[in-house]
Amino acid sequence: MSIFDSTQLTLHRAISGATLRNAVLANNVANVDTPGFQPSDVDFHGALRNALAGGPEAIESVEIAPETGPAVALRADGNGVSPEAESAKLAENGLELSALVQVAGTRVQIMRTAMGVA
Amino acid sequence: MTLPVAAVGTPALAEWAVPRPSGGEWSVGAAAPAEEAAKSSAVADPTGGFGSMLGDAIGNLEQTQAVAAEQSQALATGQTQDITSVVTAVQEASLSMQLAAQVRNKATEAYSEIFHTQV
Amino acid sequence: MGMFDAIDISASGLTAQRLRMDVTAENLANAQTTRTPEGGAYRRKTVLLQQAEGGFAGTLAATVGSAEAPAGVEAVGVVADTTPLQRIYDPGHPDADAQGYVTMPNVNPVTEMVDLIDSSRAYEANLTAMQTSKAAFTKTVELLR
Repeated sequence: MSIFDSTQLTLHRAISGATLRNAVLANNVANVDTPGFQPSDVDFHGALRNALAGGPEAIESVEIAPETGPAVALRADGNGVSPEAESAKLAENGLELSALVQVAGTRVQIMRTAMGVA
Repeated sequence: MTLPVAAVGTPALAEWAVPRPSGGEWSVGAAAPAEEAAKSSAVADPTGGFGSMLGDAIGNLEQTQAVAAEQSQALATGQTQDITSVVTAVQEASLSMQLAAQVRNKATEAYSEIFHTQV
Repeated sequence: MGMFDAIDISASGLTAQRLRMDVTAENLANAQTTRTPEGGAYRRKTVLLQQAEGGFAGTLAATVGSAEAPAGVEAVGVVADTTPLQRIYDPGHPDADAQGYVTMPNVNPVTEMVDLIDSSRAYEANLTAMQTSKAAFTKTVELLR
């Protein structure tokens, strides 16, 4: 039985999901000139929403993986990456990651205050 | 002021740490019967105003924590509409917990002081 | 996502302006084109922009909480300009007709350059809006620090 409640576990999994998403989106941007490349994304929000019903074990073991979107050709070489859209997603993901980290940190601080440590 | 000898002998020290703001009085020894608790109240009695404000804040602790947990979960699952509500909920929870901890510490200090008073 | 509406809307603006810049570039490149796959001279293209679901009523309803949030701008099509094509007298041109006139594209380089400047300024404005939204978000989260 962990000292962290299911909300804290959810936050931790969301942080790892957001970190993975950052890498995937950066990869999309890097491949903006690759012929035939289709962008991927990580839907960690959806995965966590589904896992919430199952309790802490389900949250800890939920699968968070990148998925390729529907094939769309934005340029003649078959590449489907829109640089502005990917950059906007990267910005949002970065902001969300910092928000998640801050909220998780504050909750840990609350626990420490309750315990009487600092 | 009468020395709360009866209250000192009361068991359940742990319960002492949580103040019972019933009727604006801070009573020592929650396990003691009501009249004994009234007689043995060692702390000055804050009526209304500040006392009830502190009492409300502590009573709300559970709720602020629950609201913060709900908002954090909404943030993690991408269902939140507004970051400000998440941030304010978590801040409120943090401050409530700090308040409760301070009250607990002071109350415990006061109890120890009384307990160790030489007759 | 509700939290990042402002950023999404700015992103849609960036995409729309980028499309306008691309189309302007194509117009400029084809300013002298007399042959196209459809036959005839090249016709100047323009981008049709439309507000994506919303308007003021949509924004108000979304704030009250009862409807979908506005989603910015979207390009609904790249259509041909209906200005008549120019006829230039040039009998030596391979595509001259019987009277010696060549039909040239209705592309005016000055107009295209003005459009290009307008698009790039709009692009920068959208970028600034996005930066401001990001900064506001960051400052809010810093409250927890």
